[in-house]
Amino acid sequence: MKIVVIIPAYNEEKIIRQVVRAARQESSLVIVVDDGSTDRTGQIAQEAGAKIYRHIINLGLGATLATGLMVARKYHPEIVVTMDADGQHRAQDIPSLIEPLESSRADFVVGSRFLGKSFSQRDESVPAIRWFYNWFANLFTFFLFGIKTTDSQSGLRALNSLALEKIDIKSREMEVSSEFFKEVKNNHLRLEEIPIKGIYTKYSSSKPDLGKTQNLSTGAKTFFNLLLHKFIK
Amino acid sequence: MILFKALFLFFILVILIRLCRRLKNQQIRVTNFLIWLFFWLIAGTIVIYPESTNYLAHFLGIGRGADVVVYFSLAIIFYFIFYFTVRLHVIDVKIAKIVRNISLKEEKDEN
Repeated sequence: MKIVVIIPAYNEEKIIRQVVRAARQESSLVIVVDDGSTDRTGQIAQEAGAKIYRHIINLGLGATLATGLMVARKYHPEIVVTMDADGQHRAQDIPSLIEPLESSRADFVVGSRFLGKSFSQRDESVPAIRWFYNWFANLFTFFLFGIKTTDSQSGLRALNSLALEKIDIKSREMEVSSEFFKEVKNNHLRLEEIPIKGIYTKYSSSKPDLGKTQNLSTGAKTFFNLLLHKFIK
Repeated sequence: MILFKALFLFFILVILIRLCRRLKNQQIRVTNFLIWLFFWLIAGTIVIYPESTNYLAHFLGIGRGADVVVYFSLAIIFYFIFYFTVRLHVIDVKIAKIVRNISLKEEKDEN
């Protein structure tokens, strides 16, 4: 089965080699879309065996994933997986992630860090602020697009060829995670969630964009952009 | 009050001169020029004859002329915020498209 993994990356030179190598074990091709990194992310990913596409300027997660999906279509894969570049996802979750696609139960699968887990039952590594942020984002996604999910902000997703053909990403930044659900709903695709374990390492937690203040401001910006997408075509 | 009027009229005059210069240098379309010219001439009229807004206020059923100015100003400001947000979004989409095409072209050239 032809599986293509898309990894959107921005300044991840410290961990990208490890992420690409792990993804290669579970796929036929790894595509890294380097979103205008100022470090050696692209070069290291290429050395690790990924195919590199580079944005000349930093556009944001949404635009980077859209580039990845566009590129993936050229290779006619049966399954496409998207995963984060900061080592937050385990490549060994990919087989269970794509299982609903292989058995034709679903067209789009999301790896959920919160499936069947309340606040007190969440994984120890999940910071409380992240749990609340995600809960609010799930509510907002339901309110705007009418689709229920336990992890609207998950970056680990799998699409079959139908979903790859139908999903058209327009957002530029973090709101892309919710936009995937909007596309699933609008294109009548079958959605399934499978539980995964999110890894919050010292590295990913120390990244400046995950600081508390940044998280809140990024969250507010994401919600504003989602509203904008809801009303502007 | 006279000082306020003089300052405001001077401000409007500067804007009108800049507007004419932009038209002369073809930096602005004639339609846009006429819209802005009309807007600032109305503003100038209101500065010279503030009581003129009372007629409009009376016509619209709003208490005072000054309130009409505030309501209209707010409506115009909100319209422009909306307009620029949409424009910015459109430009964002176009930039993303250009950057994406460059990345695809670069990869093609490398192979």
